Amino acid sequence: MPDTDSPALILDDLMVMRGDVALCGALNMAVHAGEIWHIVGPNGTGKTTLLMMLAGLLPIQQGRLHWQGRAAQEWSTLYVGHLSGLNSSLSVLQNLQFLANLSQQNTRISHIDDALMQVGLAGYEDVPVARLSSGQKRRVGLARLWLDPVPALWLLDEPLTALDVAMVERLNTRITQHAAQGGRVMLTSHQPVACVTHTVDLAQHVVVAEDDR
Amino acid sequence: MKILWQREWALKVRTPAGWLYPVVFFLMVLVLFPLAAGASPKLLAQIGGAAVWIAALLSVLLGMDSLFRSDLDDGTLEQVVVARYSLPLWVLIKVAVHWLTSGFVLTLLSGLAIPLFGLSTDEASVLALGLLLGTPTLTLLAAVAAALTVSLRGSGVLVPLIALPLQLPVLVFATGAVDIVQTGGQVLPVLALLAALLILAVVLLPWAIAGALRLALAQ
Amino acid sequence: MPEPSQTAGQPSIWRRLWIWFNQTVGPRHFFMTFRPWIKWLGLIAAVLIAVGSVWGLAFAPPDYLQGNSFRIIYIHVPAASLAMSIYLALAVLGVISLVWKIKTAEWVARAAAPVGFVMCVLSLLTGAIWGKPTWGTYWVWDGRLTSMLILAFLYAGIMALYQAFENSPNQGKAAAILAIVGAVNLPIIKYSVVWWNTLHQGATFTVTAAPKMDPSMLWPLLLTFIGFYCWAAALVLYRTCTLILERERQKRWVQEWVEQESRS
Repeated sequence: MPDTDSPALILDDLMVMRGDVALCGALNMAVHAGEIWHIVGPNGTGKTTLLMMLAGLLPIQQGRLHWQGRAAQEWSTLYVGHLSGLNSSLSVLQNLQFLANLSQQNTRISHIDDALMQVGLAGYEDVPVARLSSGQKRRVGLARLWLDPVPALWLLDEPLTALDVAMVERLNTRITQHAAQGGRVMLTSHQPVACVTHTVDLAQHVVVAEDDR
Repeated sequence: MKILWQREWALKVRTPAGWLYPVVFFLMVLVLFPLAAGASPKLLAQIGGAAVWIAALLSVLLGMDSLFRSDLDDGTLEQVVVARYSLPLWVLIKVAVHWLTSGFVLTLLSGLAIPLFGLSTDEASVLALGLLLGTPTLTLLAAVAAALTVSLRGSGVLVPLIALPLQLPVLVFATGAVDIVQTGGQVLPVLALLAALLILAVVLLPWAIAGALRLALAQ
Repeated sequence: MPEPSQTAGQPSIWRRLWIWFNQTVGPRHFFMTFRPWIKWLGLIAAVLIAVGSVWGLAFAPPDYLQGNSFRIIYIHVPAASLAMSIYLALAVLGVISLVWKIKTAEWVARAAAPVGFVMCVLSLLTGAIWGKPTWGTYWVWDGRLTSMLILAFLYAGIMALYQAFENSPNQGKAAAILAIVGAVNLPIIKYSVVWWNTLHQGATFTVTAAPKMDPSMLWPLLLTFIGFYCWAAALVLYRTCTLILERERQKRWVQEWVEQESRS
């Protein structure tokens, strides 16, 4: 159940912009604990760009993004985007330990083994990433979702790509579990996602042409 | 921080070509000097310091181009930024590991200047000390150029073009130190200058490099 | 990046001041305010340079030491000074554009960089022209000239970055970072070159040093100096306005302005 008392992530007149071009008009929404948001819209409306802005990869030129609530604390973000974040010369274990260390998650080998088992890659710890298929690489990236302590805000860009039915099921379960524990999830996906609670359609936020500034 | 350090080392060890070729290049450039200028012992003793430094400079620039590229391309840089890990610190670790396999190795190899160019032990030690203090600064300055151009394809000669004017003071002071030793003067003030430049570089440049990398992410 | 929420209510005085400032340096206001300046600055520059050069080249007495060749300083000194000033301006504009995200500052820097480079080359050429009759050689590796040469390379690096990022909306940002790093480095470079010069050649007075000058020689220099600065300012403003028109061509105010101009 969405908890409206907890700190909310507020998007305040946020314009999704790529360089000087506005892809999508002012967004006004709040993301509360326990909510799973699905960002939809045709190609080019800025779904990936919005996720990158929320992740802190792109500067915010117009509008504001902030936390509001009883305590505005530093929150942690987990971002799974188009790039895998895995270095191909290193092994799966080395990569996951590095990524876990960045997000201050547990880097113990047994813990990472458990996470790999969740994504169906048990025993792949010492395999060089270069030898994995793209689907396997995506699953390694998703294994981070099972490492404790998991960051509060999840930003997932097309997480269901190249996953089989069983894996999709497990991912849905994990996302629901995370939301139930008070986390927030925002994801994009061309496929329908079972666990979402809210939707925002970027195509409905039309860009108002600016005459001059 | 330990895991970041280990990761950089693991990457360096996995790709021996990355650090071996610049070292070979250094030796080749050294050899070019007597070939081009003649092998008279007096001339070689005069240009020995300069030759080592020019070879070191070019070698440092050569190995720099790909320092950040793979991390940008595979998404590692993204993850470092999203996790809000201190980007300047990450940069410093990367550059430090890189220097240990490039500039530091060249410092050790500079002893070759004794047999190859006929430098005295005094001159060679000042040369080595200068390299020890100067090559980290050179590496950091080249890293600025590498970070600024990392999002460009085929930026080959742009890195030296940007970095060389900034690296000239290090070259001037370090070779000047060798000259001073040759004429029997006080070399400590110049080495102190090099040390000061190093401190300045370590304190200021990682922030510039981090800024340039964030810019590259937004491209 | 998200930040803790501010207290709701009236925007503070600082915020209002900030909004006003932002509006004034916005592209449209900048264009409208400074475009008329171009003609006037250009006129003043033309007058000052003409008077100053004629006075300096024809009427000022020849130097007792250097004869007539010293007259080149009427071009050399302003050019050298501009080359340095513009580089420092690039750094300052870089800070403004990166910290406060003001686009116009980026564009002014983009417009100014080639002007600075040309001034740099001009000062090198005039330095060489001065050197030949005075010292018998076109180039001397003295502190000032060598620093100017390195400055030319610094400019080359900045212009290369502008060129490389031609199609990117963040075109000016990489160059801004380089300008800042270069400007901090500049005193160190100058000091190192001067030090290098004294190390290898002993203390000699440099080709480009202007010895104490008689007022009759000084006045024309002042005129050409200010004239050059006005000319550089006019040129930079002109290029900036052109850039603004180009970058903002989708906006309605540009289209209206173009229509207005073509009608008159």
